[in-house]
Amino acid sequence: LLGDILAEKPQEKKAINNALVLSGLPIVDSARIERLQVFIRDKFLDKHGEVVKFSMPTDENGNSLGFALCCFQTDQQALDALTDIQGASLDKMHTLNVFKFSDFNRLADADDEWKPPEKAPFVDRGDLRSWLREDRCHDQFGVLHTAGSVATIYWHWPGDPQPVDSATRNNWTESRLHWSPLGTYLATYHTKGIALWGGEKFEQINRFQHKNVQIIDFSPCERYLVTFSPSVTKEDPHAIKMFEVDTGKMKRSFLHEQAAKWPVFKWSHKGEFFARVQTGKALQVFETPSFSLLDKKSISVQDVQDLSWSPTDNILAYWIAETDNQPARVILMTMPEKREVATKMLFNVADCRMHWHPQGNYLCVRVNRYTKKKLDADNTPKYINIYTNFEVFRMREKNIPVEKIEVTDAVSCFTWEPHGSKFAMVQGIASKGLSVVFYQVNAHDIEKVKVLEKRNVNTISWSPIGQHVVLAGLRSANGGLEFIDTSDMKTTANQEHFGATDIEWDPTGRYVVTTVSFWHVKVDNASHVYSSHGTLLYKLNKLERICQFAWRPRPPTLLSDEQIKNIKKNMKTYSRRFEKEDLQSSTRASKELLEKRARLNTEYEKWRAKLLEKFRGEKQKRLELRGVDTDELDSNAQDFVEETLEFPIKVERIRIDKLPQVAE
Amino acid sequence: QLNQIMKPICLLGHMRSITQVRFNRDGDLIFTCAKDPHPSIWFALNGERLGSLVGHNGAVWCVDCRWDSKKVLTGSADNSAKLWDTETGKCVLSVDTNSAVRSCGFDFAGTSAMLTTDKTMGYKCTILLYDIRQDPAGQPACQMLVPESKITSAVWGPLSRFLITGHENGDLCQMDVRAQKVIRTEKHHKGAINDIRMYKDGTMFVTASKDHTARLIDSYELQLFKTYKTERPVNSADISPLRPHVLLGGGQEAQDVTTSGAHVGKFDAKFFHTVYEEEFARVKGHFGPINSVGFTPDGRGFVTGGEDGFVRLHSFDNDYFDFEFE
Repeated sequence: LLGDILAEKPQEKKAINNALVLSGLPIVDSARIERLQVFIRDKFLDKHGEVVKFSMPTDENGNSLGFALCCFQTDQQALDALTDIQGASLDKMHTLNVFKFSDFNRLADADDEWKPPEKAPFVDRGDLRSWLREDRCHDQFGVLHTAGSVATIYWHWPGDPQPVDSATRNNWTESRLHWSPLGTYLATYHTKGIALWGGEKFEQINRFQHKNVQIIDFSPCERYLVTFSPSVTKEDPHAIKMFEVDTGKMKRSFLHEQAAKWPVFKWSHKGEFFARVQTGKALQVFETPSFSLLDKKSISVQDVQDLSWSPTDNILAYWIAETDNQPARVILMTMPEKREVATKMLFNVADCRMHWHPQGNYLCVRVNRYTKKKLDADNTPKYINIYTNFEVFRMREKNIPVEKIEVTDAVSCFTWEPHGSKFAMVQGIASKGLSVVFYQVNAHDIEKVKVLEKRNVNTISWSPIGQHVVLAGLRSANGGLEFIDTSDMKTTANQEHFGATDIEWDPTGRYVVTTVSFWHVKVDNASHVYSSHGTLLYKLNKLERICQFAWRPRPPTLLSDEQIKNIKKNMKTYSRRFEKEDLQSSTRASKELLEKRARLNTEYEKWRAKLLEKFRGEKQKRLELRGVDTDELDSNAQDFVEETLEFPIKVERIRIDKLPQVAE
Repeated sequence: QLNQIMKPICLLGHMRSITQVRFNRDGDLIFTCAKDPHPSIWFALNGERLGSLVGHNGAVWCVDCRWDSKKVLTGSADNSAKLWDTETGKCVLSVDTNSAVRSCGFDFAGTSAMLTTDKTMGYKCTILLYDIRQDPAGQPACQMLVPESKITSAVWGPLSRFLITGHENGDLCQMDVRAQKVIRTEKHHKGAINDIRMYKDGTMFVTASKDHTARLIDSYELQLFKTYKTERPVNSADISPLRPHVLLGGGQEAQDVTTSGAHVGKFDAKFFHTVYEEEFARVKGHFGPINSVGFTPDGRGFVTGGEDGFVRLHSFDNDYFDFEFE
């Protein structure tokens, strides 16, 4: 209608958003100006689109002034160029500083007088690690329940978890709970962005604005928070934002162009670097705290597909797809030196996936290989007869040797044993029966140590300290749980939590929790807590409609390997002390329980006494209404009639041959 | 933990799901009604059937026995309620209503009967009071319309001064039908109240709700005192007249049925401690959700009726009477 027509009226284009100002250029004389212009356009601008206007102003002598203006055909091209060339270095002395022309006006309007920024008041956040100093080293966990409208943090006192003071809140999060990697913060989602909570009373630490944030990621050191939201606007087209946790400031934001798995940016273990792949073109490695590209440029790698950081060293692993004249390759590179420490050529590769050992001791690259390849009508490759190879890189050995395992069956759920040298996977297809296979990486070979056949398993969950593992059939499988001690490959227990949708070990490896989440199944929502050997300890089923159960992570231990060895040696002395403490606390617990019950009983008696008083007061009325006293079952005993009922129990037929003679 | 309960007596008299099971005051008779048209009366001693009440044409939703055990009242989906003579099984009075009769009950004196009807096409949910001493003309002595949420369960209050009604939206009300007013409303439940059972002295009652809980409430001020939580909707609950125990029976909503465990006989009756609100025992046996439960009036046993059409009569072992919480 009229409104629609008016909206379509051509707007005067304020042609500013497609223009960029490039500054930081060298100052050259008129002789070399033209060469400089060509150099700039060639190296930085032309690859982003069509430059419709380019101008490098000069002074009265014809020397350049150190900056240039350029206009692209579309706003998007200008934006792409900005993201790419900002901070790029021309030579040792000159670095490009690029900004939008539209920003220029803003800067020009800035106040002439510089006012020192206001000092922000010091906020004492208290001890953010207070929970680690709990007397008995109990962990905490968070539960999102009542269909997501209430979240509670509990102390995990086995058998009797207690909610933490002031940590039961309504509508604490609008979608889910997310702990930071070392457990310091609890992140909650809101339409306006993310909030972080912590400290003894879970007070709000900071807020990060990102409208309609959908998913987040922390750097492993917890210094940075990355958020993603699909809601982008013309004014703010950046879907990914990076914040500094301590200050709450946004350090950098990015467009999200290609479809990718989250997290798009992967962090190095200390948070010094983060990187992403520009599929087929380059690796972009950024460093903190500057948040700019390492050495001011991307690492150009033709046909690169994916990257992955070592969890313990600054080593970046990436793989390159095979092309018509080059095989696929996996390359390991140190950062920031960018030195290649290992390369492996792979032939007939359809796809690769990288799995790092949690302690960085090994990297396993799962390679899907084909026997035949043909091209579809639109040139997409189609692979026939896929089989799987696992290339295991031994990271701690000199020259990083690589060993290969071949598997013909279909493979899923590859997992490494933490703090150990085993890995496990599910092999086979569901219709023929799945098996779980365990391998051991020895000094000189990789041995297949155990095959468990006919297991309906879709999840392999290792204890975070290794040795114990749970084979689980979650969701559509029927909740079977097999607990295995891999030191002797014996099954310690077989349990079932029908309909379980999630499984999680506590950070110390003592407990396993399976949950039936309300998000997937509407009935029987509960969490079951098992010991590491598979004994069911207790069920958390008093909370309604549990959606999520999440253990609070712990920071890594401060003890050295030596110290841990010593403690294990002297376990007996420690055990004695702990057993005594356990006994004391259980008697204390039962004493507390008895006191609580005694209290409940007295309250109940009082309540009943009041009601009975009313009851007795109405006795006369009751007699009138019924004519007899019916207060007790035997109140009107005089009306009872005694009746004897006889039931024949047995009927016997006895044949009498002669009638008895009557004596005379 | 309770270990064994003596084998139950299974009463097989109904072809369709059980809707209610009730005892008479003396505890020697059991009244069962189901979604078939013939309610039955049984001897509690050995499970022998006394007989069935023939006359209804549809599912029988409710049954009540008068305090002197001489008369029985039933309410049915065939839009009628009938009064029967217990000894002979003869129908002595039948009243027609505009919609299905959902609850019924004799008052304390046994001279009045209350009925509540469902809300259906054009007819609001109604409470009807009849004086049953009158000539069987079948006109209600008074009636009261319930405008909003329909009544899903109703019982007489102490001395029958008012009715205590449970509604589809979880409301609990005290209704003075003769004065046509709602004395009090409380919202303790978040879902429909499926059953209300009075304690033996009428001073308190337990409600069973779709919101997975049962609650202990006082009759005079509708004050909530205890809550018993489970993982499934609760269809029925009763308070033991002998020990501080509450019995809950329930199941799952029809639309939520997946292949739940498929272990036969998995549906269980749950026992909670009245004061500590803790579950301490479960008795399995039914093949479908449990729709109605009740303790025997002497507290020495209990009866459960299920969706599977079975009525199971249990007697407690000696363990039960000695059982104490540590």
